[in-house]
Amino acid sequence: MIEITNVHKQFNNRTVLNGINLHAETGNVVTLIGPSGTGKTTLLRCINLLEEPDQGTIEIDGVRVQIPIKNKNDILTLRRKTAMVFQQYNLFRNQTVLQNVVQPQVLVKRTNKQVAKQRAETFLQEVGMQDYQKYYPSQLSGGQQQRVSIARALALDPKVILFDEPTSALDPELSREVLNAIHKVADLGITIVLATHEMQFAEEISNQVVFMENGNVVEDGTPAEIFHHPANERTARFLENYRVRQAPIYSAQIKKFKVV
Amino acid sequence: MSSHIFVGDFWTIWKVVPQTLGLSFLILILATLLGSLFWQIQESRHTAIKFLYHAFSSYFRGVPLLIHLLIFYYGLPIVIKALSDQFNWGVSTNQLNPIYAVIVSYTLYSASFLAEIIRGSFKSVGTDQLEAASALGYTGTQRFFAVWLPQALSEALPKILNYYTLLIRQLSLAFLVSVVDIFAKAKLETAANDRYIEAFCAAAIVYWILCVVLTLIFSKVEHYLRRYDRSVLA
Amino acid sequence: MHNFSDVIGLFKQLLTGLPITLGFIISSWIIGFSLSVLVTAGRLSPRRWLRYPLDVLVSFTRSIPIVLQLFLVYYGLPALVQTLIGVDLNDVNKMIFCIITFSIYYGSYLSEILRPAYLSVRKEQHDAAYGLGYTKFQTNFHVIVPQMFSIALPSLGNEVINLVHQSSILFVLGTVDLMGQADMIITTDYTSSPLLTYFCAGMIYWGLTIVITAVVHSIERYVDRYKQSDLEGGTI
Ligand SMILES: Nc1ncnc2c1ncn2[C@@H]1O[C@H](COP(=O)(O)OP(=O)(O)O)[C@@H](O)[C@H]1O
Ligand SMILES: [Mg+2]
Repeated sequence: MIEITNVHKQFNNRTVLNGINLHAETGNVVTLIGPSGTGKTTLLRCINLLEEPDQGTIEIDGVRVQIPIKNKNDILTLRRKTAMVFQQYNLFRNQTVLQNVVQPQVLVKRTNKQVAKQRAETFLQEVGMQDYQKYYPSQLSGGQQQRVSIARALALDPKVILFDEPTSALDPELSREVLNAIHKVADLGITIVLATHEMQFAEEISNQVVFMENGNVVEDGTPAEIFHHPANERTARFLENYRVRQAPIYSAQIKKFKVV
Repeated sequence: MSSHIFVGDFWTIWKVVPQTLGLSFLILILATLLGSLFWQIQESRHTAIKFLYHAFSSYFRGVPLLIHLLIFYYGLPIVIKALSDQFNWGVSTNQLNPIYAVIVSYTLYSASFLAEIIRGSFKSVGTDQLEAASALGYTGTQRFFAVWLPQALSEALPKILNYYTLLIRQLSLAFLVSVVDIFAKAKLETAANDRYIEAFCAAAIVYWILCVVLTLIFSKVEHYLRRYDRSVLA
Repeated sequence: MHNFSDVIGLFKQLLTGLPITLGFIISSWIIGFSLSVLVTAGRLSPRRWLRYPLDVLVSFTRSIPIVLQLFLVYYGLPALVQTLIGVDLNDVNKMIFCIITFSIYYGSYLSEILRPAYLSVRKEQHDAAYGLGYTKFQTNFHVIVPQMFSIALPSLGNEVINLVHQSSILFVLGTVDLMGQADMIITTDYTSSPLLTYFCAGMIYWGLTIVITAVVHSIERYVDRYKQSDLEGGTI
């Protein structure tokens, strides 16, 4: 269970999160949608306290952290309830695929190394990366790296996995395999909080959708409500714009031009 | 130029190679440790400490090594004598081995350069790597030893080893304070047999061999350390 | 204890050696740097008979302490010239040997900076220039070499400082540069303090280093002024 209450965050006197409240039951798949720069990443990073909020309370699976944090050990306890999958994968670049999945188990969960290896193999199998155990991240494609990073997160047995736009750095063909891996995570019953721009995928995988804008939660509901009967006018407008921009051929091209 | 004298000089000079390598290595180790300390000082939040370090490092990097060496050669006995008198150590400084002046001056000088290498290497490890460790629940210590240090080391080590070959060459100044390294040995040979060219050529060949061999070994080490950067994407 | 006017006097005498130090640095740098451009071009050339000997030369000068190179030239060059063409060089000014040594040293050593700089630019910009129909010479002269210097500049600046510092070794041949003056004060004046003398000489070298660093920084800023627009356009 996740319970986020009244989380505020400012960067350089600019409010990025303006009193966020969010509740998610165990096993829920929560997707965060909303325009870029709206604070989705910041919210995810506040949930595992990579970023310390200015105010608010975060509770995951019975561990409650209130800002200001009195006991620094709480940060670690809370983080160990979660794992994160980053937009840029963030695999340890000096470690092989196998080491990337084994080391966190050994260090964080104190798992016996042999056991950790076996578990790593299982989870790599799960995401379809069992044949790349001896590869270094630089030898893999983005999609492959992201799947390893999902296996790495899974191996820690977290209560919650936070995904920050896990496919937005990938070409569409590569996205698919990552999305499949996320599906597997959902099937395992782990609570997921996922920031994404892949609306179709959000609709298909989640049972709770949160629309954010300018640091506020505008609307929070089931996929059916949000995508088909949005109560709020701004949600509707965002999704409308989105559909226009998502016109199949153009979207890929626009993205590429921007990067260049 | 007589090949007979050249060969004789070569083998005489070759005998001091171990002590030259050893002394350079000792200095390298001390300087690396001190350089790490300097890096920590530099990261300090106290502006006064930072300022002092900057002045110190600017001084050590701004003055030729040769002058540091001579200053410590004349200054170290005075300092030690003062300390000894103050605390009644009873150390005699009349015959302070000049090798201490070499070690102290070279260590301080090298540390001020190595501190930059060390700082750069730790900085070069991306925040993404450190954040990943935090997000997975590593403690601060685990993050340092399992992620930060190994990556910084494989960045720093090639540069530190490169500095080692530089130190071997820099040690040639030690003849000024009569510490015997390869070059000093060559000079002693010229004094013994009055044949300059042979001894200096022999010393040059010794340095050349050492440098080429060490560079070869070090590039193998570097190749190994950077194995994870070689993307062979299919 | 030394009083203040003694120290002033000391500085005055040391500074009489400064023009020679500066003259040495400037001439060695100009000759050495020009030479290094040729050496770099030679090492980049496809002709093996040009490349290999130069590679050997660079490996040699990089491996051997400068003081040994100085002695090699000082004792070896006259002997070599004597046997080859029978000219006696023994009366030639010592400073000439110093400049020859350092010019050869920097002439080959700096190519270790220029060559990678050239290669790193060429990789990116070569095709662009060729694609526009530039000749090989135009490409090198107008596109690659200017960018190469902007890449190499910080390292070249370090080498100038290195040269200043290394010039302090010349006194072993009995030159009358800055360090030579310090040596002379100590050997001729009984009352002098070697510690203070070397320290004062060190101060002058330090000042020189600071000035050169400042000059190099302002040149860097000037050369890199066009890079700023790169940053502005860099958002994704
Ligand atoms: N470390 C930071 N320092 C300053 N501003 C930041 C920082 N992180 C994020 N921001 C700002 O906060 C806003 C929200 O960013 P983000 O959470 O990344 O949005 P989203 O993920 O929804 O696109 C952006 O305007 C961004 O510039
Ligand atoms: Mg984001």
